[in-house]
Amino acid sequence: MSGRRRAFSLALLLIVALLPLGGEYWVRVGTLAAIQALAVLGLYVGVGLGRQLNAGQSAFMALGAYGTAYAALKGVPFPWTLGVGLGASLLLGLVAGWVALRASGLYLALATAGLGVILIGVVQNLPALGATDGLAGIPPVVASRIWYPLAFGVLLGGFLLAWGISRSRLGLFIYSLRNEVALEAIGVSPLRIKVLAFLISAFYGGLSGGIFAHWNQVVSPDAFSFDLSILLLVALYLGGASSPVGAVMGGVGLTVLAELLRPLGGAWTGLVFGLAVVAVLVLSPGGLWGKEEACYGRRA
Amino acid sequence: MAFGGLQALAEVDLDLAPGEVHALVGPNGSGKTTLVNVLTGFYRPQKGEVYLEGRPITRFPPWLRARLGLARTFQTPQLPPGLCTRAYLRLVGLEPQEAMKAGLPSGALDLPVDELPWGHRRILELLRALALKPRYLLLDEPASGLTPLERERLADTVRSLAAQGLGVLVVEHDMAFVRRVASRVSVLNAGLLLAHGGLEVLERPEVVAAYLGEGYVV
Repeated sequence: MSGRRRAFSLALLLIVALLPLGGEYWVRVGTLAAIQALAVLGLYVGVGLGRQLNAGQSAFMALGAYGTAYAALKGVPFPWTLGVGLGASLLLGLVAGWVALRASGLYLALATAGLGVILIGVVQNLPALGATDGLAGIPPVVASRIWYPLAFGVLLGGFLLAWGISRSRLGLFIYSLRNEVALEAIGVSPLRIKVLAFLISAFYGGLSGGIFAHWNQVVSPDAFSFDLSILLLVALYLGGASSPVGAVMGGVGLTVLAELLRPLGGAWTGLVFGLAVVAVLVLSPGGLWGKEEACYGRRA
Repeated sequence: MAFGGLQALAEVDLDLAPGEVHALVGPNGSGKTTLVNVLTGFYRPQKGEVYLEGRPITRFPPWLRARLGLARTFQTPQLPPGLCTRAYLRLVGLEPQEAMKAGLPSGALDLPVDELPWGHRRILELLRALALKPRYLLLDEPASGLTPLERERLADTVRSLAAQGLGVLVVEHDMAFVRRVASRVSVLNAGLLLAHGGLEVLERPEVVAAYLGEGYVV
């Protein structure tokens, strides 16, 4: 790890360790950061590793959140509620994977973005899911002070899984989606690998949404807008799409940065935020924690 | 097989037997690679059938044909960009030692596969195809871009593979290479099968004319 990256990592770890000292508000910010970083890890596998542009990750989160919330309100005990959310999210993963068989690159980004927008549109009009009000009164499953370490614990688990995938043969298959002919030639169906990549992204998104539902106790359509999908993608590239470390750092860092900038007020927040993102990507095109290796998989 | 208004292949019949090296020759644009693409499933023909040991596989995707024992290489090696050679070997299920034995230097292991010298990429592609343990191997211009020494080594490899019972189809422009490895030849011209038979078909006037133009005197 280069000195610069080590300094960034240290600063971020310090922020995460110090956030709870800032009071309950910053504990909530930190928890949300961990939850969103989990969704970014899903993007790392699909987009960073597999180059399957996904501009609809918030839809996977929405299904995870709504599935979990709906089950919890119907009396399903925790953690089975998460299973319901994950099931819903994985189903969408299958649909997105099927779409990916027909579209790639920017077309796939548009298609996944469309999936997300349509899904939120449907949720907003479904009385059973609370329409625009969403679902409230989701029972808390742990004491509020537990959420912060719990969310980061799940994030650590998610990170280890993504790290394992990136070093496994499956990770090499997903990486090789960059040249589908090369996959066909070794007797591997690119279609299956694409669907698998989307299922893994969906797993992370669904888990992230499910945890969000229990933590926030309220889920509403505006929490999973298209903006969130874009924010998660930006987080991935800002942190560095070439490693799960970048995904975690980007996800946590961007959520905290957005909150730090909030006092500036609406338009200014967007401006500073946007400039910061552009500056990072110009100065460090691979992201802040991007790897500078000659090729992928030296230690795979 | 046609692309828009262009008939790339028509009425071509070709069979490949285990243990033989069958050369597919013909001028540029005669349909050789198109035929390989039809056989391996990268193109789906409008008419005609592909059989693998009696089993119709015309509707099978390329990866399934590869698994069933029909391996191929490409004119331009198809390797995942930016992947380390070491990781590529793991991807295809080979040990680095096997690649070293086939002539890849150990320094290549930590380089991206798509930036290796041409000859090394060709070695990787051949290793990748053989890692499938195929019964039939289709080589699309395997000797192009190779040094004379590498060609010689490749010819030995191809012959020994056939001796082990593999059916090998070689698309090649290098006639010296063809004469060295092949026992049977099919000649394509403008998408039609011009001639087929033993190596002697290479001497036929119509074959020479197709390659070198009418009025060429050897």
